[in-house]
Parts: sequence; C-alpha cells; structure tokens
Amino acid sequence: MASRVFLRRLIGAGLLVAALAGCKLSSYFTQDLIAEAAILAVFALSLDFLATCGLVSFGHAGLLGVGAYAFGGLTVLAGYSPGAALAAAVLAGLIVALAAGVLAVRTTGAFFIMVTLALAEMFYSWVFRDRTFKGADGMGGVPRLDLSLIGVDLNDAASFSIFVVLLCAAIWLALEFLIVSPFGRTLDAIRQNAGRVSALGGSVFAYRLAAFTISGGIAAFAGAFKVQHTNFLSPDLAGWLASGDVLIAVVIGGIGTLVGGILGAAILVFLKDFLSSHFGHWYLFLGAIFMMVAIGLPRGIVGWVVELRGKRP
Amino acid sequence: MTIALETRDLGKSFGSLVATRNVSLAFEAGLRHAIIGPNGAGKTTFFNLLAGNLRPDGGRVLLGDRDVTHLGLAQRARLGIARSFQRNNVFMDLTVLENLVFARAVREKRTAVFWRSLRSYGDLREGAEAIAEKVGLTGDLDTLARSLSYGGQRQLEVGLALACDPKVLLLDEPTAGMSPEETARMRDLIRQLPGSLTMVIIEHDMDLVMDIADSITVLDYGSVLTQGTPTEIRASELVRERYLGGAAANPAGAL
Amino acid sequence: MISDPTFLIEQILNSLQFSMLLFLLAIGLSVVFGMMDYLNLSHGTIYMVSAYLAYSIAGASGSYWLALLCAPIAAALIGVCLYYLLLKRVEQHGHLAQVLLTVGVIYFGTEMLRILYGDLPKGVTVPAALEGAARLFGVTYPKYRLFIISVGLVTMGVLYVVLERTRLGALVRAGVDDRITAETMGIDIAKVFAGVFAIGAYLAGLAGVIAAPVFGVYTGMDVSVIILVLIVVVIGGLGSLAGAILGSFLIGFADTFGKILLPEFAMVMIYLVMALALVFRPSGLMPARRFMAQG
Repeated sequence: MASRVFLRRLIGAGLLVAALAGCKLSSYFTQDLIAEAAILAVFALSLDFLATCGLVSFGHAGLLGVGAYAFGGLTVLAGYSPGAALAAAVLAGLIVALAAGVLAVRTTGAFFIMVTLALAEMFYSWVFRDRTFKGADGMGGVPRLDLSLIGVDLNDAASFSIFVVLLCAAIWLALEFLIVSPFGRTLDAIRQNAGRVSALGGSVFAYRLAAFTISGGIAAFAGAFKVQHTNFLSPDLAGWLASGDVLIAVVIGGIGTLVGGILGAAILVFLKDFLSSHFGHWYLFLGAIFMMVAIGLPRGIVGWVVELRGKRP
Repeated sequence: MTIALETRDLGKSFGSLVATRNVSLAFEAGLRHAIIGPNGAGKTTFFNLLAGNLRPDGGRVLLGDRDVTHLGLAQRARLGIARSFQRNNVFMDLTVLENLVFARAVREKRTAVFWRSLRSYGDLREGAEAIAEKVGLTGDLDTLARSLSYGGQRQLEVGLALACDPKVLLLDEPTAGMSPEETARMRDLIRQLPGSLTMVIIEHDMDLVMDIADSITVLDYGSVLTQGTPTEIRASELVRERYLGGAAANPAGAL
Repeated sequence: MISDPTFLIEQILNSLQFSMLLFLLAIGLSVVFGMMDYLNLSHGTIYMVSAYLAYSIAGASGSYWLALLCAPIAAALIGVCLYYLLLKRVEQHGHLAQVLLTVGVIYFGTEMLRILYGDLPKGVTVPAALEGAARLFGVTYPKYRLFIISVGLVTMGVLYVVLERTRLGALVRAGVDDRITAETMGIDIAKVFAGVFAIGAYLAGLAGVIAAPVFGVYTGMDVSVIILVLIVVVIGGLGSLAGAILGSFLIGFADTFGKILLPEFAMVMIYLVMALALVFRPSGLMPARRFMAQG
C-alpha cells in the first residue's frame, strides 16, 4: 500500500516540476499547451474522482460546460467580476450535478454511461440553439481572473500557466487526502462491492450522489478556467467529443489512480498538438490510440506501472 | 420469552413462482435458530426478505416491536439485523484488517469525515482486531481478502456481519464449501458468539445443525413444514419423509 | 397550423418515415446490446459508411438500385470484419472498454471517410422510378419517402417472421433470454453473435442507403443519429422487436412533432425522456428480459 501511494505521489511531483519548469523556460506556445493540459488535468481529476466510487460518466463535458457558460455568461453578458463569476460557476456546477445526480446516480454501468451522455447532450443542444449565448457561433471576450492585488497579471501567458498548474496541483493534493479519508474509503468500498456496503448499513446512493456533486463542482471549476484560457465560449466545450476526450485521458493515465488523470491529460494535449502539426488526418491516430488503449492498456499507464511494483491494483 | 425477529404471513413470488408462502415465524431472542430444507425450498429468499434485500409481496417483518417491512437493507442493518452471504461477498482489494475497520467505521457512523485518514482512528482498529480474534483471523490481519483461503474468506464474511454490532445475525450457509477442519472451526466460532445475540442460520450440514441449534425450522416449497427442537425434528416422521429421504434408519451422523 | 389536416397528415408521414429509419438502426443495436451486453456506439458509423458506399456505387454505375443491393451487403461484411478483428476483443471487458473501443472506431472511420471523400456533403439522387409525388390520404407526398416507409414495414414483417417462426429466430431469442442456459444447451453462441452482428450491420447499411437521398451523406451523420438510436433502444427495451418498433415510433413522432411545436426545446425534451426512462424503467417499455435496477 505504501509503495503504491508513494509511486503515485512521485509521479505527481515529477509532473508538477516538469510543468513548472516548462512554464518558466519554454516558448509561449508550449506554455499555452501546458496551461491547456493543466486545465484538462483538473477536468480529468474530476472524472477520475467520480470513478473511485465506480461511476464512469460519458457526459462530464456537460458539467464543464455549465461552469464555462456560467462564468462566460456572468462576465461577458452580466458584467460580473471574474472572481464572483468563478464562485458562481462552481456553485452552478454543484447544483446542476446534484440535480442531475439525483436522477443519474440511480443507475450504474452502461445505463449510467447513457444517462450521463443524454443529460450532457441536453445541455449541449440547449446552448447550441439558445441565442443568449450566441449559440454555435460562440462568444468571445471572456476575461481572466484579476490577481493584480498580489501583483500577478494573468493575461501574461507564463503567469497564467503557472497559476493553473498550481491550481491543478492543489486540487490533486486535496483529492489525494480525500480518498484516504473515511469518506473516500467508503467510495472505494462502494466501487468494490456496493451490495456489501448496503448490508453493513451504509447508504450507497447518498455517497455516490455526494461524489457526483463534488465531481461536478470541480468540473465546473475547470470549465471556468477553460474559457478564461481561450477567452472564448462555444457549445463544443460541452459536446460528446469533449466528454470522450477527457475519458480517454483518464483511461490512458489510469482510471482510479488520480495522478493518472493528470498524466493522461498531459499526454493527450501534447499528442494532439504533435499529431495535428505533422499529419493532416491526425484523428486517424487518435482513433487508433483509443482502440489500442481499450484493448491493450485497460489499466492505463500509471495503473500498469503500479502493478509492476506490487501486487495491489 | 422475548421475540427478537418475527415474520407474519410473509409472501414473495417471482412471476408465477411462489418462493415464500405465508411464512409466520418467531425467532426467540438469544437462541440459535436453524433453517433447513431441500434446495429450492425458499430458504435464501426468506433470508433476503428478513435482511431487506427483497421486499415482500405481502406480510410483515418485525424486529422486536418495530415493523421493518418497508425499510431497506441498509436501514435494517443500522437497526441491528446483519447478514452474511452464501457466496463470499467481502471487499477483495482490502486486507482483513481494512475490511473490518471499514465495517466498524460504517457502524460507528464515522464515514462522512473528509479531513482525517481512516487509518488514523485507533479505536476503530481495536474494534476490528477484536472481531478478527472472534472469527479466528488474527494471524491474517494484513492479508488481502483476495489472497485468503476460501475458509478464511467465509470467516471474514461472518466477521463483517459481526462488525455491525447486530442484535440478530443471519448466517447464510456459513460452512458452504468448507473442509471438515474449517467446518469445525466455524462451529466453534458460532458456539463462542455471545448468548445475547440471536442467530438465524441456514445450513445443509445436519451434523452442525443438530449440534448447535436450539430450534430448527424446516422449510419446503416456500412454507414452513414444521418447527421444533433438534430432538423433535430428529424424531419427526414428516421431516424424515420430505427432507431426509424417507429411509427408516440412517447411518450415525445425519439422522 | 396543426389543425390543418393536410399538414397534419404530412407530418405523420414524415414521422413514420423517420421512425422507419430509426427502427432499422435500433433493432441491430438493441439485439446486440440485449443479447451480448455489448454497447456498440460505432453502429452509426456502419450506417454512414454504407451511405458513402451508396454514393460511390450510384455515382459510378448510375444505378441507385445497384447501390441499394450492394451497399448493405458490404456493410454487413464490414460489420462482421469489425466484430472479429476488433470488437470481439473487449466483449468480456465491460462497457467502458466497449465504449472506448467503439468511439475509437467512430473517430477512425469518420476520418477515413474524410480522406477518401473530402469534407463536402454528398448527395445521392432519387431513382427515376421513385421521383415525384403520389396522392395518399388526400395529400401529395414524395414517392421516395413512401418507399422508405414501405421498406421499413417490410423489414418489420420479415424480422417478425424470422424471429418468431424460424429456428434462427428461436436461437436469437434464446440467446437474448438467457445466454448461459443457451450455451449449456449446446447452442454455439459465438456463431449466433456473429450472425446477429452481421444482420444488424446489414440493416444499418440498408438504412444508410435509403436515407441518403433524403438526408444527404456527410461525416457526422453517424453521431447525430446514434444518440437518437440509443434513446430508442433504451426506451423501447433491450433485445425485443416489439420494443424497437415501439421506441422508434415514439421517438420518430416525438422528434418530428417536437421540432414543430417546440423548436428550441425538442432535443432537450427527448434527452430528458431518455434519462427518466433509464432511471425508472432501465429495462425499457417492452424488454425481452427485465433487469434488476441498482439502488
């Protein structure tokens, strides 16, 4: 147990150092990629955290979208300050996740996959058509958080990257502590054997709902930063392709390992960039990678590495 | 004589199959009750109805004075009905100690905590170790449940049920698939459980049943065939005919 | 608007036509999911590939009918190859692996078609015999769309006869009902699966060809349809013909009339109905076999 946790934290620390070094030392373009990877990593962490109780969502981009649209709408259309909008975005994520979860968490397995897909598509089709948010055309001009009080200008690419990398690290650490708490261990027990947890007197529904809600809050947080990064709000953020992307990131890294989500996100962002700049039809490769991971690497990279070290999964 | 657990006119059907038919049974507190009967008699269905895994189509289940018919599995567990399962249903990826600590944490309602690690609770650990001793797993505390022998997993099964501090303990075929040594260990384990605990045990092993049971209920085709002390059941013509095969004399041991 | 009888009849016919397409796609997915517990999201990709094939065949030969004959067969072959080469490998690995694999197939297949055909949508012309309109129930309605409805009805009839009256049908129903028992009874489940996959792919291919002249041929047509098909399958019930028919009609009508009555919220309502159906009736309205819902 100790070596498994240590290994995961080592990988995480390594990624953090690499990311920070990258922010400081590399070109503008790489800094931008690092920021994108860090934001996707937060999103991946939200999905992987949910997976610790055995629920795999194929509609998580819907929750990301809620955060993104809340933040974008409140700042651009309603003139709120980015700080207030950020808080509101996370709150929106929590509320929507709670409401959706009450419905969705009653199902598991394939049905859960389909319910979450359907709910996300609901959100997508609404923002696609609704002219308030300019629909498919999207909406620009989303401002970044104002950190001038501490002398940081987030409009500077390097500063923004470092900031989101640190946010990602903080969230990761918080989740690492959460999963060893009694709450987190209950989620893991539910994943292993939900029936047994019920037989012991635990309320499986309540815990799954709590996990889904927390996950939604984190996903919304990622969404708020995604629109800050691109300064642009569009329905594709919430589409099923985005849900698929984050899922593949989590699976490549290693589902259930937390740090795997960060690794997978980094791999996906850099891989997409590499492929798209070298090949015209790079979706072929992405599709092939999906297929290979599904067939050959179900535990993901971190899962595989940890398995090499010890007998514990 | 207090009744710890009782059913009144309990019924359950699956489509056209009547699994439980108007079963009214009272389980006296502090005694060991065995339920026997041929395969398909509806024993496990009855257990599922007692524990809350299934909802009855009709009738009631009472825990002491309290009507628990409409309560679910988790709620009944919190009120004091704990069960073990016929097929091992433990947490395979956790060690024996972790299994029991977790069960204790659920019992003590400590699971909604975010800010400490589960391992830091010394009292939960002590409670878990005590249970491990009761079920004979003290030497295997750090073994993964997955790595235990089959008998060891059965012991852990019982341990998890005990961790709920139950008033009524339902054991579903605790010795299923066990070797004679393992069965003997399980028998001793059951004998050593406190007298305040009411037990209802489904079993096929007649030696064990005759040895430890205070009262035996025979189920057949979903209804109660008869009920009585081991001596009475042993002497019963009806039981011999319907369940034990109808032969007049049996070799020493079974009946 | 809805009180105008001509308009109403037209929309009913439109709903029927759309329902038929959904049915052709849903039945394959439903039986595969119901029988093999396999969530194959790339089912829509076969539909799309067949539409492109129809475009090529019709374009090269000038004959729509040739495309109608060949494309579904090609689709069935592609489906079987896909099954044996790829999909079969994660049959036992759970739904997550199946989702990942089939989404990979979607990405790959879509991009492959882009490479071969470019990004612009293609069209398939309605065959001469079906051009123009006919008078039916007092309205003038395109002959080709009536053709679509007929194909759907004929398929329903054929499938009914096959499933209920033939030995193959009995095998499929046994497999849906209880795979393990069927296996112990000596039925070669693996071959039945492959057969079911092939037939499902054939029907998806058929849908692709007959949809092409009306809906066009473009990349992304697979995704826009697969989600609706999932809804049909879930609402109708897994593994049953009656369920697929019922589900297709419900969604076909809901989609068509929804777009007229509530254009902004049509899709939202449909997805909400699916989510609710999954929660309260996870087995669907007319499933072949009922599941115990998790609680």
